[in-house]
Amino acid sequence: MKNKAFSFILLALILFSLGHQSKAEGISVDAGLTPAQDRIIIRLQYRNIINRMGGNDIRVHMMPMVVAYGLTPDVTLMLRNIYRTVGKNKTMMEMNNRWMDPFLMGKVKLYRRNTRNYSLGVAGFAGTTFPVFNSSVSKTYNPVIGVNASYRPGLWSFDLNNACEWVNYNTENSRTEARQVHLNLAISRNIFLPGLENWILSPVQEFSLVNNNPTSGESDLIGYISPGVQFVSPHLKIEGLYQFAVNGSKASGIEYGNRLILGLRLMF
Amino acid sequence: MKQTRLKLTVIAILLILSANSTETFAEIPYHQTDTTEQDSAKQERVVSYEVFGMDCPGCQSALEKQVNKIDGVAGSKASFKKKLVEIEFKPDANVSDKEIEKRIKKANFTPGKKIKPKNNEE
Repeated sequence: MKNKAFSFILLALILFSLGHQSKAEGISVDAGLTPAQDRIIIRLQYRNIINRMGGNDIRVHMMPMVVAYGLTPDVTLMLRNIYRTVGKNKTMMEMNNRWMDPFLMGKVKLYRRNTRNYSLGVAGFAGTTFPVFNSSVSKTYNPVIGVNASYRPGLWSFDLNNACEWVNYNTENSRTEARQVHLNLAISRNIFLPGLENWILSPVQEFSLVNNNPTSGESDLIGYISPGVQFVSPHLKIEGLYQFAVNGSKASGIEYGNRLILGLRLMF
Repeated sequence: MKQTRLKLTVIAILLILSANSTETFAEIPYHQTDTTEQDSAKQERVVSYEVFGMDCPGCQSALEKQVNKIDGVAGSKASFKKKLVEIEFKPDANVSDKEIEKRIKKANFTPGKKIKPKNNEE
């Protein structure tokens, strides 16, 4: 047990040494359920994001890598890091290809009930980015707290994620501080694949809402309607999601565009 | 002379038939006994539990990982479709139900009833 905890810390340190900021709404189907003890989950994603600012495109490719470890059946540790490459930037905003700040999070089981007909789980989490490379604009922490709930009746899954994030927390006065509220609902259904006993197909429909409240200025409300699909086997999950942006207000001047998310999840 | 030949022929035929029949009878019971012993041994070493909370193939591997850590377990096969885990013990293993249930709980699932009782706990 001690050796495994040490291994995880070592792995975390290695990733910390590589890395920088984070955010990962989209395909969060394990929301309110904590994984098994000693479970190691590695998630690799590719995200193609197109935003517009003042009529100019910003195309960004994000590659988050997530490592999660079941410390106990009730506590999960998660480390996330993102590599960003800028495909196209016709705005005045300065952006480079780089590792973003690493994000460390702990998830705690609050409630779980498993019956013959359904599973119900609620988990709370808290995490923050660490400005170890000072590569973000704010050079500070972005703490997040939230509660997730999962309901799995039969072959159906309903996952609700709620998170409150303090962006640029305790930063210099010259930087904008904001509070973001994320709300995400994912609905999926398992479909058995004939001839493939250990694989299932799972179409997913997600609804996301992000409310951005800067301390100075007006707030943004951004929504995403995201159909997707997953192929799941005992040790591998292949995920694909397309997020259609539904922009409510554009107070910050950024028009959020559609996003493509492709991912692999390895489970040991 | 003819009678002697006839007698010898009859004896030869009887011997051949008896030899064949001995082989046949010897084979069937031997085979049957062997199969029965194998089945009996397998039943003694395999037990199944109902498990609640698994909802995908990923859950299967999580449960198998926990159960395989038990000293005396040779292997396991979980099925989220059937909501059960089949556990095979090593010869002479003595694994308690409590230990199995503890491991199922460590995987964040809930143990149900035992499907096949262990025959080797005499």
